[in-house]
This record gives sequence, structure tokens and C-alpha cells, in this order.
Amino acid sequence: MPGFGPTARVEELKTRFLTYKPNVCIERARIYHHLYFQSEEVRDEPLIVGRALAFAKLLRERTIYIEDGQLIAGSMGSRPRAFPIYPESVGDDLLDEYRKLTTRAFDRFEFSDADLMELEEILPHWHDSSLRQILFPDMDAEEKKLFLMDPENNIVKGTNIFSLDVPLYGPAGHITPDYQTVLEIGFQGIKARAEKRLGRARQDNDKNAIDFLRAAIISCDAITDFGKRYAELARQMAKEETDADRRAELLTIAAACDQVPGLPPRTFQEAIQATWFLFVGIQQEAFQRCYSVGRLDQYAYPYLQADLQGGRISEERAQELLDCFFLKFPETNYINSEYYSHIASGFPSQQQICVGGQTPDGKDATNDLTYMCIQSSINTRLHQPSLSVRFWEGSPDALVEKTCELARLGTGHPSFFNDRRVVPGLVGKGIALEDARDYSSVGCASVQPTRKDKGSQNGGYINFAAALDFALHDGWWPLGNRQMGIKTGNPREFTSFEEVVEAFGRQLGYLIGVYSRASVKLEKIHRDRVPTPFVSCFVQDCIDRGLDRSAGGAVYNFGFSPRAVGLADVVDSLTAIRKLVFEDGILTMNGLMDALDADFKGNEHVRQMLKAKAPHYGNDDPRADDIAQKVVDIYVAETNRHRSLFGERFHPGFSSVSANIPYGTVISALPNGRQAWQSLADGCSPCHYVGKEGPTAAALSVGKLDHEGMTGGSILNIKLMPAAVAGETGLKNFVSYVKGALEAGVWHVQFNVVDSEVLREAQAHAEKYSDLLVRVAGYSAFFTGLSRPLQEDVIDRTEHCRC
Amino acid sequence: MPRVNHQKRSAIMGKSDVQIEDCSGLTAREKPLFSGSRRAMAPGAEGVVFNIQRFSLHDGAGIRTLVFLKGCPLRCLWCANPEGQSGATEIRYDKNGCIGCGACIDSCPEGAVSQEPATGFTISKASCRACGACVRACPSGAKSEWGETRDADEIVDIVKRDSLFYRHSGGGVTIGGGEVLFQPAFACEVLRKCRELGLNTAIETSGYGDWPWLERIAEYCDTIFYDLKIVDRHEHRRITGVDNETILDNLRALDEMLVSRGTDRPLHLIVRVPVIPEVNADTENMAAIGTFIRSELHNTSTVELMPFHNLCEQKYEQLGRPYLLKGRAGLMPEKVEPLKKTLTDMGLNCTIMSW
Ligand code: SF4
Ligand code: SF4
Repeated sequence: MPGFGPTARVEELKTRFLTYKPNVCIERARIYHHLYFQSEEVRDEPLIVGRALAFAKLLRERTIYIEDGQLIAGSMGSRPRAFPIYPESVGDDLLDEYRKLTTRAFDRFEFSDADLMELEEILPHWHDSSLRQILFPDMDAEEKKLFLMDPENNIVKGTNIFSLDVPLYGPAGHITPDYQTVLEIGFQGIKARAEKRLGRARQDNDKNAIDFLRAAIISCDAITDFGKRYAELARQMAKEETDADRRAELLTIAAACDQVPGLPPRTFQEAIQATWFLFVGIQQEAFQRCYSVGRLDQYAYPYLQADLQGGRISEERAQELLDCFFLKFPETNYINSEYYSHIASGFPSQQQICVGGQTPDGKDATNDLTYMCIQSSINTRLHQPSLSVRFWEGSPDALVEKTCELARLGTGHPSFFNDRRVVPGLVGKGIALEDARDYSSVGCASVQPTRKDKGSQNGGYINFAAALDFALHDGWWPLGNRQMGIKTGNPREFTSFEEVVEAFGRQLGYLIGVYSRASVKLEKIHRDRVPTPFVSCFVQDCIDRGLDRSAGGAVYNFGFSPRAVGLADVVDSLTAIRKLVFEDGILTMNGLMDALDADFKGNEHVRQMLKAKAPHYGNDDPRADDIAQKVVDIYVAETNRHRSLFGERFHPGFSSVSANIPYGTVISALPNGRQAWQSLADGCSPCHYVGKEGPTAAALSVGKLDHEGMTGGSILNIKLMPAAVAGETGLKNFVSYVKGALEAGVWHVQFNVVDSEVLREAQAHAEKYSDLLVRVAGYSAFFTGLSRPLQEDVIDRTEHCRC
Repeated sequence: MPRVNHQKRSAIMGKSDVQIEDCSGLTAREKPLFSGSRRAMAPGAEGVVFNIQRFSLHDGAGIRTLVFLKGCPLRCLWCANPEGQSGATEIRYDKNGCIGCGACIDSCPEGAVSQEPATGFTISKASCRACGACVRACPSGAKSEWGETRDADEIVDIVKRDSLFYRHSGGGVTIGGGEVLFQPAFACEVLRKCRELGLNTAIETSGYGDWPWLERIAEYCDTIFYDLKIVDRHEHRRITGVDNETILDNLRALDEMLVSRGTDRPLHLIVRVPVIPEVNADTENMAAIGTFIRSELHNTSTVELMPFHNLCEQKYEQLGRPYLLKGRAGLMPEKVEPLKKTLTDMGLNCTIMSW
């Protein structure tokens, strides 16, 4: 299928998008506040029904608009790039942050004084709703000590040894609900199911189910009516529209919004319109990031096919529609704390569209829409949506080629996912083979069975390097100046390498144990305080079970899972200890510890030796890679000892996004020569500057790891200079590299095709490079919007191209 | 393009004339190598390798591993791999990586290292025996060895590691240097073993060596990149330190071989021309090269132009050697277009290899 480039409309929408400033929309907070504090409507209702009523009220009352020239309707807030406020889970946690939104260094928002004043008024009433306010008092002393810098006085500032991160702000996210069923039967069809099930619940007098199903039914109507509001608006606009073509478009939009999402779509346009409404809906219901559209090329394809066959649409028009759909995603924004905006600047939201791969029955899933989605990413070239392309043994060469064509544009899209590792990994976690084959990517490098998973996978980070720091200090935390880990012995007295590894393993096991306790507590809080009946309507089998997804209504109920940060630092450190201390004897444990405790001051020669005289992970060198395998095995085994709230195992992973920067600030000097406070390596990528052997070696090293155990996913970032992949030969080599890396067994790989000179130039002249996109460890962002250390991080990442 | 006059040439070459005289005769340590001891070794020999570079994309088909052999009888003044010229191990000193600890001075049994205010901990070429004591003593890797004696099997083991990338890309191994013909037995052995593994094999050569060896090596090659710098014999000698008679003879012989090799596993011969401003970057020289290929080679028509670049400057410094083209700007690939046209007009198939 030929790729159609961007039409004038698409170019214009994109250009206009680049002029929009992120902004805060307080309507949601206002409407929720009114409902809960200034009316009686929800007072006597069960909590879950109250939440559905609030959702309905929001969709009924909030401002809506249809953008000039857009073919898809629906938005997050009252204007493009508006971010709503979620008092019911965030409380007033971020009030301080909101005050700084217009002036802080990164990710600034437009935010009027009047609106800020109104929030100052509203949010304090919600203080007790903050998940953080509920969780931390519920923690035991040990958990508090590990999670909070100053547990007695401040519940916002974390230690960076751990965090629960994403789920502390809201109840959902990292979820790929069942768009397909909604397209098949419409939300009114779902409502009918819920009503039927409600009848049974009433017979059984099952109070929980009754409450949930009532909430579900309210939500079904709410989203249906939301569509109808847009239909009405489109008709109004059509009346006033002087341009005949645009008038016709508006009337088509009106017809679509009358139909969906209440009823099944009749056309491709209606199918993607419905998908967009659902996607907006789940983000209106609750605060979270990393919502996914899932396998768009699978569930929307029949509608495209029918339209094409029926001559109702041309291929070019279909591409334009899809481009318009893609252009809706970057309008979605999240407010992060100022602190978080430093570590993950560039407005990340990780909204995944996952295409390609295989069908549940193990056939190749690639179709025309797969290619069109890749083309849309080529046509729009914005930081969202994050496109993932799945590959398996049966993927056609043309798919690899098309995907590489996108990847070499240097936008950071897409992520390449490897079914060869993912599918067996999911099966190993107890997921049925056909569901495993039907996985979607979520967040950065995570995956989940589409339509059937509870979601909420990213449960924050564990500082992998901390386990080593503690092991080298008998549980003491040098930079935090307190005992944090367990007692594992004085490292100066270690007489074998095995003792070092064992101490590391025990510290890591301890951290994971405390993490799991806290994460289960948080899962309970989600269940009890912030259920999400709307999204539960289309997560299998919540309706049948009469249970919200947060209460275990889904087919698969995995919990939050930890992502570890600093794999390469730990591996290189252990490798250096083995080589220099226990093999070559050029260093003693005493000498090493003296140097580390002095942060290498006066010991620069030791630091240099550690860097220069030991092998490094990521170079396909068995002398380092065997240690990488070993520590990953420890990590997997330790996480496997614990269970989530619903009895499932964790999906441990290595994907740091940008947490490697703040997580480095709490780690003292390490035996890989890294000095105190410096960043850790990202994802499962090699440390910066040590990837001497280049990308083939990096893929081979990473491929050796137990990815089936690490089903939380792990990111491999490969930076390539544009010259390496330029022209026909470049593309061919790029394709071969990707095929080789997949065969080598990486879980995921993504590329940063850009040269450092360009990046330096962009640092100096931000204005000239405002649309320069970079993939930063797990997401794409505008380079010029990144913080300086992150920019440096991108530039420093191992240069893999020697041309 | 105006003819480059000789005066202008000598402006850059002035000093180098002297140097070329010096280095066309090799140093005492190199000489025995070149004059036969290594060349005569039986297959299976060890060789001196100064670099192995995986994920190389510009030296043959697909993704390749480049093996750089040490030692070259030519002394081209633009040489991008000066560390490959001498056949013996050399000590590299990277001033930027040096922490100034002085361990190298203390460790040297010959007293060859001294601390210079401007250049750091430099090595006196005259006294250094390349014993490696300073390298072992140096904590930072600022002192390291260029050139390591390695077994052919060892090299093949490393090359093999990227096999799956070769399989997908049609890539394989390319042996370069230095000069392949400087260690022909070793090169032959590595190529033979790689070929047994079914890998695509290539060499890059100046062509300056014994035909019997080249013939044998060619047997194990899928592709030969053959340097042709200057057709004029005197000019060639002035610029590279050696005569080009052997080079041209060998090239003719290889060209013949293309036919006898047959189509089963054909041999590809690609002529590579380094394009060096004020040395050979003129249409006249390019026309001479074109004429030679057209009239004397009957089976070869592919030429790759390699515009001069200066990415190697640092290596000269690290070797403690002067670099006559220091500070000179690289030649932008588009500047080479007219030269390409000269060749394509003669019916040759010509590509510019950008750097
Ligand atoms: S290699 Fe040996 S002789 Fe040469 S400078 Fe180093 S220590 Fe001295
Ligand atoms: S031993 Fe190495 S780091 Fe120390 S002075 Fe010599 S070259 Fe520099």
C-alpha cells in the first residue's frame, strides 16, 4: 500500500498545534467540587456511584469545542493542550506546584491568576482525598523510612531509593481496554449487559455488584451523551459555516457523534471517532498517564476495509483521517510536579498505539492499517502518540522496512517490540497463549494482554544501584546519612566475589520486600477510594463479575510492578570488583572502599582503573554479561517471591524513563568509577561511553538477559547518526540491524537517529529547533523543552555510529 | 578544474618530501617484518591487529566487522590510520585521558617517558622498546597499545559474534589496515576460516605486495577494495613513498582473475580513490585513473571516491607524530561531484563515499 504524505489540512493542524501552549483547565476541579461540596447529589450514594455521577456531570457540563479543520471531535479540556485537575486522587498535593506552573524552568503552563485563586479555594477541601495522604499514614515505620526523605514532616519528598510514582497520583493508567467490544456493540450494548447483570445482582442481593453496575450504567449513558453534545455542537457550527466543504465535514462529524460511542460505528471515521471518545473518557474519569489505544490496526481495520470496498472512502482520505486522529494525541497533557518535570520533561504522556505482531491464533496480524499507522507517525512527527510496532517470526520484510523508514526520521518513534520474548514471557506469568499473542504495549516498555488486564502496571521505581550502595556499606545509606538497608556485613572483610554478590542480592531482596508491602497497600486504596467504573465497562470481565477493575474484576489482575533503575552501573561495578579485586588483585576491598568513601578524591587513579581495566556490560563481553544475567536473575527471583493484591506475580522491568537522573543523586560513588550524585544508566542500556563495540554488541548483550522473567519490559536505546541509516543502503542495513537485534533477543529497542552537533546547535538556538524530537529513554519529547542535564544525557549517550 | 601547479603542491609537501624519504625506508624494527619473516609464515600464523570494529557499514555489503592489520609499506601523507603504518606494536598516549599520575615514568625500564609541559607524558620513540610496562602501570588507559599479536582463531571468534547481523544484511568481515599484504599469511588464514563459516569476505588493499600472496588471498574474497591513488609513477612515489608499478600490475592481474573466477561465487573488484585536495583532487588525475581503468582493466568499472577527511588528526598526536595536513578542512562530498562526473562520463560506475 503506497504511503500518502500529509495533506494541507494535516500540515496546518500540526503547525497550529506547535503554537499552543500547555495550559491548565480548572473546570473539572470546579465541577467535582460543586458536586461533592456544594450539592446533596452524591451525599447518600455509595462511593463508586458518586464517582460515576461526577464523571457524568463533568461530561455534561464541561466546555467542548471542535477545532478548525479537524475531522475528529473530543478533547481533554476547554482548549487544546489543556490539562484538567483531579482533586479526588491528587488532593492538594500539587498546589504548591500549581503556583509555580507559569514560572518554573521546564514544562511551563499557561494558568490565569483568577483560576489559580479558585483552585486555592477548592483544593484544600480535598486534602484528605490525596492518595498520598491516605497511604503514607498507613505505612509502617520501615516503609516510611524507605520511601520518604523526612517521614515525620513531609510526605511529598521521596527518597529516590524507591517510589510508587505513577499510582500515587491516580487510580488507572497503563491500561488497554476493550475498544473492540465497544465498536461491536456500542456503549448502549454494554449498558444492556450491565442492566442484565444488575438484575441478577439484585436477586442475589450482592451489594458490591449492585453499586458497581449502577455506576457502570451511569457511565455508559454519560459517554453516549458526551458524543451527542459534540453532534449538537457540530450541527451548530455547520449552520454558521460559510465554506461548503467544511459545512459538509461538520455534518459528517455530527452524524458520527450522534452514532458513537453509544451505538456501533458504521464507517471508519466513526470507528476512530468512537475510539477517541473512549480514550478521552478514560482520562476524564481519573488521573493517570500511559493510557493506550492498543491494537488500533486490528480492531479498526474491518471498518476501513468495508469503506474501501464499498467505495465510501479513498485511501488518501483514510490516511488523512488517521493523521487527524494522531494529531489529537499531543493535545493531551499532564501536569507533573516541578521535580518530575526535571526528570521527565517534555510533557511525556506515553499514549501507546500498538500495531503489527500476530493475531490471537498465531497468524501474522499485519494489514494495510498497520502501514497507515506508521505513515501517520511519519506524517505528523509529534511527540505523541507513541507508536509501537510488534515483530514476530512471521512479520513481513515490508513491515520492518516501513518501520525503519519511520525510525530513521529521528522522531524517536516507534518502539520495536519483540514477540519472541514478550509472548513466552506473558505465558510464563500464567496468561493464556492466545491472550499473550494479543498483547499491547503500554507506557514505555510494558506489555499487557489487550482488553483483559486490570492495568496500572507501572508501580514506580526501585533504585537498583541503591542495593549495591547499601551492600557496600553494611546497609548504611551514605548520601542519606542513615541506616536504610539490612546488615549484610562489612565489605572490607569480604574475601570472595560471591560474598559481594550475596550482599547485593540480600539488600535487593529486602528493598523489593518493602516495596511489595507498600504497593499492595496502595492497590487496596485504589480499590477502596478511587474505583473507575467507566473504564471497567470495557475491561473484560468486569461487567460479568460485577466488579470494578480495581477490585479484581478483570480477567488478569496483575498489580503495580517495579521498574529497576541502574542495571548497567551495578553490572559494571560488580564486574570491576571481580576483575580488579578478586581476579587481578590490583586492588583490595579496603583500597576500593577507601576510594569510594572519599568519592575518589585523592584516588583518581583508582577511579580510572575501575573504568579502564574492567570489561563493561553492553559490549557482548561474556566477562560482564554473565554478571548482568546473574543480577537480573536475582531481581526476577526476588520479585517472584511476592504477590500483588490479587495474588498475581509482579512484572519486574528495567525502564527508567528519566528516573536514572534523580536516582543517581542519592547514590554514592560506585565501583564502576561513577562518582556520587551522577546519573545512572537508563533502562537496560549500557553505561554511557562504554558501548565501544557498537549496537550489534549492545543488542547481543541485552538479548542474553532473562526477558521472560522481566515481563515489566526493558528499554534498549540505540543512538544512531543519520549517516548510518541514510539512503537505500542505509535503510537496508538498518532493517538488517533491527532483524538481528530482534533475533538476538532484545525485548524492545528504540532509536535516536540524530547527530550530536545538531543537538548542540539546538541547545544554543532553541527557537530554531522547536520541533526537534528526541527519544529520551522511553518517550519522545521536544528536545528544546528538555532540561539541561537531560539534553546532556541525550548527547552523551553512546555514539554508535562510526562513519 | 585548474591544474594544480607544482609550486602549490610543494607548499604542502615541502617538509613531507623529506619525511617520505625517511619513511619509505622503514625503521629498524619494521624492516625484518616487511622483508619476509612474517610474510613467509605458514598459514595459521599469528598476526598483529590494531583494531577490530563491529557494526561497520561502509566497507562492503551489509553490516561488517573490520579487522585492521598493522603494518604498511606506504606512507601516504593523508593516511587516516597512521597507527596502522608501523608493523610493530606502538604505544598510544592520549593526553585527554591522562590524569597526570606519573606512573608511566616510574614504570619505564628504558627511561623513555618524560613529562613535557605542552604535550604531557610523552614517549621518546628512540628509546621505547614497546615493552608495555607503562601501559600496565597506567590507571586510566591513557597509555595503551596499538597492535596486539593475536591468533587467527581468536579473530574469527570475534568476527563470528555478529553472524546473525551478517546473515540479515549480507555482511561479513573486511580485512584492512595497515596493509593486508603486509601480513598476507595471517590475512589468508582469517579469510579462509571466515569463508568456511559462510561469511562474506572482503579486503581493502593498496595492492603493494607480492602477486602470489594477493592471488591466494583473492581466492578467499568476495570483494576487493583496491586503492588507486595516482597513475603517474613519479608522483605516486613522491606522495606515498613507493612506486606504483607493482600496484598497477597486481590490479591488472586481479582484473583478469575476475573472469577465471567464474560466476559461482564471483569476485567483485572495486577501485577506491582517496580524493585529497592539492594532491590528486584534480580532473586531470581523475581522467588518468579513468583512462587506466577503461583501457587496461577489462572487467572492472566500479569506482568509489573517498573524499579527504580529517577525523584522524588526534591519532597522529597520540602517536607523537607530526601530521602535515593538520587543521585542514575535510572535503565536502558534494565538492567531489565534478570528479565523479569525469569518471561517469567515461562510462564508469562511480559513487562518492561520504564521511
Ligand atoms: S612501552 Fe616500555 S619502553 Fe616504551 S615507554 Fe612504555 S615502559 Fe617505556
Ligand atoms: S600513567 Fe597514564 S595517567 Fe598516569 S601520567 Fe602516565 S599516561 Fe598519564
